[in-house]
Amino acid sequence: MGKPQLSVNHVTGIKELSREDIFLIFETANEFKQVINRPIKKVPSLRDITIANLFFEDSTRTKLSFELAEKRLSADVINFSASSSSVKKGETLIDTVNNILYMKVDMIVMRHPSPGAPHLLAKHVNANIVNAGDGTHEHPTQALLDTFSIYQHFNGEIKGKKVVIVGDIMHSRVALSNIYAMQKLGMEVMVCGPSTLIPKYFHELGVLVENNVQKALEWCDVANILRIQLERQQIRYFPSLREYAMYFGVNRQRLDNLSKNILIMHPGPINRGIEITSDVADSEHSIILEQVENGVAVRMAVLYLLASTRK
Amino acid sequence: MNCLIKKARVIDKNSSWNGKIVDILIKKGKIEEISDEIIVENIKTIGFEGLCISPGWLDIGTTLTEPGHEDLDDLHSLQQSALKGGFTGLAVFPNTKPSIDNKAMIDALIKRSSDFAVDIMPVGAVTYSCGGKDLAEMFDMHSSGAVAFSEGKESLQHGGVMLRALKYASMLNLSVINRPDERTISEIGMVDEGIDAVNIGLPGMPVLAETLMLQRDIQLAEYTGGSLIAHMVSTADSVKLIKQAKRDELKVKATVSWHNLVETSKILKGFDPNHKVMPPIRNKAQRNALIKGLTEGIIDGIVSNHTPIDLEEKRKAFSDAAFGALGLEQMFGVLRSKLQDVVGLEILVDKLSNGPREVLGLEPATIETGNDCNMTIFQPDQKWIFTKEDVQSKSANAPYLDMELTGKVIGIYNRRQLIIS
Repeated sequence: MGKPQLSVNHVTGIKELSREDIFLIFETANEFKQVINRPIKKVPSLRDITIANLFFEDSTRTKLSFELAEKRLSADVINFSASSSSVKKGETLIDTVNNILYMKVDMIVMRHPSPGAPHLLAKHVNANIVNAGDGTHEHPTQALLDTFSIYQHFNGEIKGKKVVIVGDIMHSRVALSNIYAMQKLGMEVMVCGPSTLIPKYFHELGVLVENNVQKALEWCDVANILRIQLERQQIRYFPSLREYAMYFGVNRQRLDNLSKNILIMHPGPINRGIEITSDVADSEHSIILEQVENGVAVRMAVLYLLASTRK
Repeated sequence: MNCLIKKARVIDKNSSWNGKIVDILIKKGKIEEISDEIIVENIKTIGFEGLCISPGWLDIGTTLTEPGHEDLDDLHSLQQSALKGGFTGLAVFPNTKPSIDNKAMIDALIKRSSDFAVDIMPVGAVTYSCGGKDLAEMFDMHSSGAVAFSEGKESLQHGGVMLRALKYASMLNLSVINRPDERTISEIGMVDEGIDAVNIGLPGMPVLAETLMLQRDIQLAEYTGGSLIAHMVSTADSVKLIKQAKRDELKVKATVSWHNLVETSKILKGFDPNHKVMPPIRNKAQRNALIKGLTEGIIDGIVSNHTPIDLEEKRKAFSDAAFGALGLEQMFGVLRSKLQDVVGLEILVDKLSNGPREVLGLEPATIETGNDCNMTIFQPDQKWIFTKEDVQSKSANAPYLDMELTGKVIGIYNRRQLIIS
């Protein structure tokens, strides 16, 4: 034995992972990244493992990324989405999932609108759970792929690196998971956006809070820019997408005013011209598409490492 | 325009000349020289008995009816009212039709008044159309010159919107101006709740309506770290709340309407619709508390609550008449006449000049050599009779017509213009 293992049986959030866990995922992801760049992209690591992707909330890229990761690992995959489910018929989450497990499913990848839903499952069902986003709480694999991308870009030299997360911090599961992950890896984090989109007590996480995007960009080495969705907010926290773009959007002019080059990230999907302009998203400083590639490798690593915790 | 002002007493707590009688030479919009005596020939010279000068007076929350109701007042007639009353600046409310809720409206207003002697400072709407719901584009309005945000004549009822407004405006270091009035409590009231209302058979507005909302607003200011201007407070309870808020070092400022300083609800027995104003004129105890709050520095500025109303809307029984009265033209004279024994000239003038600028966070217009000249010129002890001819507004709803007043405005100097009325 002696093969390193994760300290957890589920990846419900970054909060539950140790620094060592994160580095183990990075190392494994690095290997899988080489695999998926080979002519034969598939390995038999999860043969005979069945994974259910349960998406109780819409997703395109996270779902595709997980499915691809599972298939590259030779797992058997079933997909389930809320629109075609019995959830609408009044069945509880635990019942729904237990029914699926009795079809002999080993691992569950779940996205759910309620914060804590994967934690509930982890307590009540006999399978490894991977959280693919629980409401406005966590999105651990996104944070892992984000930090992995930074890690690779800086050749592992990430301690002390300054990252600003720009946008709708209040409604973002990406922001919270990012902060946990980055802090565990020794990075400094700032959040930036309209004050109405930054929860009052966020600074108690040990992050800096800034409302001026130009100052935030000047401070950072890396800017992770979040998607803005005014149309989905039930309460209007800021006046308009237009004003957001003008005063909080990251554009070429803002970058040209900086005394240095910074790395540009975005978890997608991008609203071009709102939180980020095309000339920034497509610039040489952007690693947005690398993030997508790393997403598959990181998810392969997470699934692989979790499977190896099975007895 | 160049001019020389002779033998004028400076009333400006920020000036090193405060309290002194001096000559002032103004050239090309700047104060060129201040000294005991200046002799210059061939220059426009102003000399009057008992002359005083102070930093230009600023009114917060003046009603603007252009666009929408140019029949009541347009920018030009509004400027004339301001000049008559000694005001060099008006922070106008956004309740026009359409509302001043976007950059284009702010730009237009500033452009339309660019050659004025009076600074027209737009207060942008907090929400679209002052509808109390969705935040308007404050950053954009600020970039064009909005000096604060407010729903103007309307009190912002929704606590959540007020919270977000204070938070959002705080990024711009601008204040939200709100007149505290919980409408579900004041509802159908027309006058101050009390024995005077009972005696004239009119429904009252309880003090409570103001207290409840002011408490809410102060707590929201504390929670958000935002700046609140409690506009036109009218009760002793409000003075107490503001005193405490200031003691707690919250970013809270307060204004009072002149109506609430000069009159008590006893006057309503005459059923004069020009005394039907919002907030209502309250009883003696409330009035005394406001005066005390003013002299103790709890209330920061006096405002005119200048509201032009269509003649037909005032030529009605009190209960049917619209709220509002004109105030810019006669306000100083009435204040001076009615408060001479209780509010000293220095404090009164400070609450018209420096006070409102501090409320809005503007630079002071200090009377000092080298500064841009923004100044009001007046005779605080001069007697005159306020007549119809003095009303510059297109509307006619001015209280105190034909009354002999003490305290007369001579004119102003601002934006390189000397205007003697």
